[in-house]
Amino acid sequence: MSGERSSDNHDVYGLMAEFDSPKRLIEVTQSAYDRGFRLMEAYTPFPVEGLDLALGYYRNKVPLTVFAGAVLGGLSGFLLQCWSAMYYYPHNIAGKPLYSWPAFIPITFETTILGGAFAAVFGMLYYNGLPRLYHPVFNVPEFVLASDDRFFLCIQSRDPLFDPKETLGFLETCGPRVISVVPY
Amino acid sequence: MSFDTDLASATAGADLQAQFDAVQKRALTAGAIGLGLSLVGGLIWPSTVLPAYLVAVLFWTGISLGSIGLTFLHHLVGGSWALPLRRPFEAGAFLIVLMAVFFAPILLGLRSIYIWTNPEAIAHNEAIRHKVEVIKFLTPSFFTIRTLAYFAIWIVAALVLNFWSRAQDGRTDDAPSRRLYVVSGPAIVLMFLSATFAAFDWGMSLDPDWYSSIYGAMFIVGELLSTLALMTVIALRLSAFEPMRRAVTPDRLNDVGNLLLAFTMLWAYMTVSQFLIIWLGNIGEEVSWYLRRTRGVWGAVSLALIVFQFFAPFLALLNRETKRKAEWVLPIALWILVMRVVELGWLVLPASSEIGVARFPWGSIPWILTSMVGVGGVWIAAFVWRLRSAPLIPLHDPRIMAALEHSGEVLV
Repeated sequence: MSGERSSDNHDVYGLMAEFDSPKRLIEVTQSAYDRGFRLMEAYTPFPVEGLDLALGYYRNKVPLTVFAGAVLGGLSGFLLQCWSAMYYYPHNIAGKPLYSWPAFIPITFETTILGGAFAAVFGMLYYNGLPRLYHPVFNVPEFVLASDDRFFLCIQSRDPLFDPKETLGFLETCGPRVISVVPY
Repeated sequence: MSFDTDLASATAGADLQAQFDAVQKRALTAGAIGLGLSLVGGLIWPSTVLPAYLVAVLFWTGISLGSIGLTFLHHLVGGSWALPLRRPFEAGAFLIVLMAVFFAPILLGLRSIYIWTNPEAIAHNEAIRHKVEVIKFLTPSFFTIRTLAYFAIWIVAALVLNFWSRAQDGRTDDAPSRRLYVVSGPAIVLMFLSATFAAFDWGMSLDPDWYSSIYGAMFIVGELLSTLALMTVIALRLSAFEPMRRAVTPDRLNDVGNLLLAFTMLWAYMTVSQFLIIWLGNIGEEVSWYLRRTRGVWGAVSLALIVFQFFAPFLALLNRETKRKAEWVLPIALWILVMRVVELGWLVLPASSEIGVARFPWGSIPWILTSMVGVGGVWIAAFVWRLRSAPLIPLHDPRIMAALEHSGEVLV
């Protein structure tokens, strides 16, 4: 049955419901999450507080990526200085030992931040699937309003619980302005 | 998620009042025992006990000073993070009056603490002689006058904060809060300057042959960090009762955790800056301060400060999940307080010791404990007395109301 269903949904990206208010969108998203839908995405003209929680996006891998990037940046900065000061270009500066770790701290601090910042930006882009030149949601004409004053929730056909009829029925009970089928 | 700010629901209930009574009784008992022991010890071995007493006085004065500073800061920037902390801050600020009294033994025992009162040290060291005899900055009388002036400034600031904030409770127009907003900016400048000079006088002049212009900032950041940590502990303990239960939400705890993280990093930044500049300069008259604090047991203490006062809370507070849970934030805040006492001991006790002599003042350690308990017990008892004399949540504060409105919490 499930195999059949997924082949049925092959040429539909998902179902998209359009709402008037961010508050309503959060409520609908929450009830969709409570029903078990996971592969869904919300689109709003401005950041809506609490929407990330409703979507279940509370946990993501960005913090861990940033931490790893920061540690990597700090280590490489520190080791680079150790290598250049101790082996590549050993030099007597103010009579200090070649391994003068306190002098390496500012650069280590900066490369830690650099590594963390790079990991944050590029990690965020990677996990968001960006850059992306084509996205099916733009096939829905009304979607242009997502950057104006409308709030959208799109339940994707990849979701194991997705069933064209049932999901449509569920979205209809939520009182949206319009429900659109999003083609690939 | 609703939060109404009427008088009845913002005042402590009967169960909390009973708890307050119990805490006051225990704190007063502990305080009396600690102070009694310190007094007896101080009369017998003044030069061992008084520096330890100075550690405790610097700690608790720092809490009151940090409370004044953070209250002014909140009046300036607003936000709902301080909703559960404002009244504890104000009560802590008020106790600067108590700390003025507790400072008297320091002024009476200057000769047992500060080496610049010793004619022999003055004669043997040109740098000390300059500060004492030529420019006459470090003299007991001028030192006392300056100390009195600092306390005068701070007491006025604390009274203004307490009086106008409580005046706001009883009225719906925002005149008292507006006045506080206007004075907060200049007051923060004045607080920062006076606290810097106080840190120079009380802490830095322990090593009168040495100076560092970042010392004041480093000291103040340490005070702010410990203040925030103690007030977080207090708010979390109070959050078992209404109205604090509603005020301490995971979001606010997250904000406070972020502030603790920021001040931990700022403390490390100041401390490392001072060390790095002196280490790079490598001048005899500057490195003495570090030589006294990095030899023998003090070297282990220095390492412990790096690992446990910076890295431990820093790494623990990085995680967002941690900052949202009281069972994590409470031990971290307590840990920060413990490390602040260790840091103050590290700043005060090795002062003026002979360079190269790795002698650790084991004898002073128990007196740090008696003084901390003694001054702290009385401080906590007075704190509770002050805290329970007003609603535990500031009422009708326009900046808090605006922040509550923004986060969607209902207002009355």
